[in-house]
Amino acid sequence: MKTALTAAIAVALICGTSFGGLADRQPSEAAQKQIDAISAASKSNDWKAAQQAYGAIDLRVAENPVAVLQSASAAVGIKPGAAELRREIATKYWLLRKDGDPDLADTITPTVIPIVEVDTMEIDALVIDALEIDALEIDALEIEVVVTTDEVFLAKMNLWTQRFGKQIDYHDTKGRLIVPAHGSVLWRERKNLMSEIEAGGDYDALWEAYSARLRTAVERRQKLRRQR
Amino acid sequence: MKKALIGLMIGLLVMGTVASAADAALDAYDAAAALWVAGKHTDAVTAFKQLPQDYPDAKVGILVAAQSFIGQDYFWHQKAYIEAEAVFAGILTNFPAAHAQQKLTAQTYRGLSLEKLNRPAEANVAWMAGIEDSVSVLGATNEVKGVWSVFNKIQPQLIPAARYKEFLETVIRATKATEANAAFLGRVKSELEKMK
Repeated sequence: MKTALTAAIAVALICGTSFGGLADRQPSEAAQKQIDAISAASKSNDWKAAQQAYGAIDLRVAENPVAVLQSASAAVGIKPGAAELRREIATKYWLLRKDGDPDLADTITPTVIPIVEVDTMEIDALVIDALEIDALEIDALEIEVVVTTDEVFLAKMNLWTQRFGKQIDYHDTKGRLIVPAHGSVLWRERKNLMSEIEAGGDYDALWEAYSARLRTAVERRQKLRRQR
Repeated sequence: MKKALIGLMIGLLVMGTVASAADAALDAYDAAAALWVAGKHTDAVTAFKQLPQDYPDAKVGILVAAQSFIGQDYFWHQKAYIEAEAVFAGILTNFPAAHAQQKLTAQTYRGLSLEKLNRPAEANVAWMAGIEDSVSVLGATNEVKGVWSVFNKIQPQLIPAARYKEFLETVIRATKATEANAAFLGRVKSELEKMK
């Protein structure tokens, strides 16, 4: 199984030290005008004016936003007083750069952008690697549903839930996520259901069957807890 | 000297007239809004409809807000979604200078109306346009409000992959790369990474 769990929350870091040449296409005339304004503001340490000029660049219409950002970064220069603007440019550069684009000369640490890395939405990628199983002394076979606090799993499921508009797991009264135990029959049903939802197929019957069995399993778990 | 004084007096007079007209439009708007808050939606809508006729030169923000109330009445109270969609589309067409928040609201309601009309693909188009137009100004700092909440409505499976990818790239380009927007940018970037 692909160990897709290992690097789920990525932290944005740019640590480049070299400054490659500008990309082929230069900034447009409108962008260049703002870059010139940034350069002028930088010379007089007027960072408010520099920020305004940067804000006036419309990257949506830029043919090559990476080149624009490189030019903007160079225009600001590596000055301590401009840390906020430098960080904003570096962060945007990190977000937009493609493989092969050179590093910025400015090595300021960008803002951390939390990315949930989901290369594919294959269900096998959604595996729990850490479970908080309530301290119940019961046969392992009885464990149908478990509470998970695994942040990676929760982040991925949050992404999946938002993407497909479906909440397939159960939340207990404390707001914790209760999911089928990994490897259980219910877990396989959950996988099938997610596959059908992703495929946009007719999943109503699967949904009803899964929901009913999940509800039963949760009720059984709650009953066991009360008995102990 | 005398001419200058007369000029000053005329100028003050004109400014006063303009100011009082703006105040009157605002008063009319406030009165209509008070009716709305009191639950008198029909009366409020009548007043909102009258406002642009009495004060055609009122500030864009007031005229748009009045239209927005009219559209919301169609949507929430009359459940007349065709009319609601038309009103919000009219805001976008007739008031290009409206504030980004008002444009986002208009696109949001356009999308909701289209969704009710069983036209989900068009609803997605409206929501995407709303985000693309407003995120540079509004940012996206709260998952359940504003731009981010509209983003969460979008159903990628109903959008051609190339268009969805273009949308995500545009949003990343337009959103300020600040700490406040970091979580949202991470969400959008995650979507984009998924499409590689």
